[in-house]
Amino acid sequence: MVSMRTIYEMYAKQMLASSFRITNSLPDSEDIIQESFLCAFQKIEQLKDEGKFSSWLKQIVINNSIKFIKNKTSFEPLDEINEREVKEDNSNWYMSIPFNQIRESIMSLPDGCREIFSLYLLEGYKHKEIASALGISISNSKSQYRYALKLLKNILMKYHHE
Amino acid sequence: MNNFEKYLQDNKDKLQSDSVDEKVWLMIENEMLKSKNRRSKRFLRITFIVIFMSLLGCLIYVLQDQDEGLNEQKILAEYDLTKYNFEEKVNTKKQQLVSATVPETKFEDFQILLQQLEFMDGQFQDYIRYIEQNGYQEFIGDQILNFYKSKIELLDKIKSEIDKINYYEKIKPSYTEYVTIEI
Repeated sequence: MVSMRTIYEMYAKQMLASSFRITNSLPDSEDIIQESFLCAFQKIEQLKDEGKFSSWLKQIVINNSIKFIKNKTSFEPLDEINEREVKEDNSNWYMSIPFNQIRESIMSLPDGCREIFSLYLLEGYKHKEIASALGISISNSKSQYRYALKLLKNILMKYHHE
Repeated sequence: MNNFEKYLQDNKDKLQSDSVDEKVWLMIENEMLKSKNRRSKRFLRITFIVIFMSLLGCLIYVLQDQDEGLNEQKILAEYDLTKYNFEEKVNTKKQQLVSATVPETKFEDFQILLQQLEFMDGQFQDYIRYIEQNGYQEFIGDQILNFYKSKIELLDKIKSEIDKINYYEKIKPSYTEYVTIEI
């Protein structure tokens, strides 16, 4: 049987990154993954399929992270952003930008839209699920996402031109 | 989803931070140890309570049993019911039956007599309880004396039945095992 320490080492980095992209606070994300791992280890007998451990753990981490930000972030509806502004992209201009630069740029996005951007693009949540979890409308979730994508592109473009 | 979004999605592992502070694991380990200790403590506490309650139960039972025995003797002596030495006679009869055995096939024949004996003992306890609650009355005294007489008669009857069975067993053995009559 794999030890708890081994399981922790396998997933801790990934879980911390997921939580951090939502909370944007390292100490809070450390607390969240600590609480989530504890919860997972204590309820591990409830998990019928051991192969699903990572997705189950991820869900606990994301749920705890959402619970953490839910009452702290305001998701004011944004003006509708033209689909074309974010969709038209055929060049590979972003390839030359280092990943740490991209990571920092994501973290510099405003709270509400960064959270939705992370949940949708990086965690694979659907807008319907995000809207339900955060208590906002689906259209608001979509517009926050597009706004985040547009902002991120603008930030990264600057590095690209530099 | 455009190429840029796809690129980010495909490389999301590279967007992770470098390491996780060791203190996070230490805190998890610490919490797990605390929880394990709490479980052990709870288990010990429950075990202790169960043992304590069992001992207390046994003690109460023993004390009550002693009390009942004392009360019976006290009541019988108080109302001069011991003058006929019935208790002594009953004990002597019982002693004679302690080691009495009968063939297993005949044991069932005794069941009715033994049940009768048990029923009578229950009645006797009712008389004692009545005196405890309502005080002594002459009719209860008579009932108790009758009880002793009937009990002695019943024990005699059991004895003669055993003798009879064992006599015929000697003449015509059934070759079955012998069992003790527990009185």
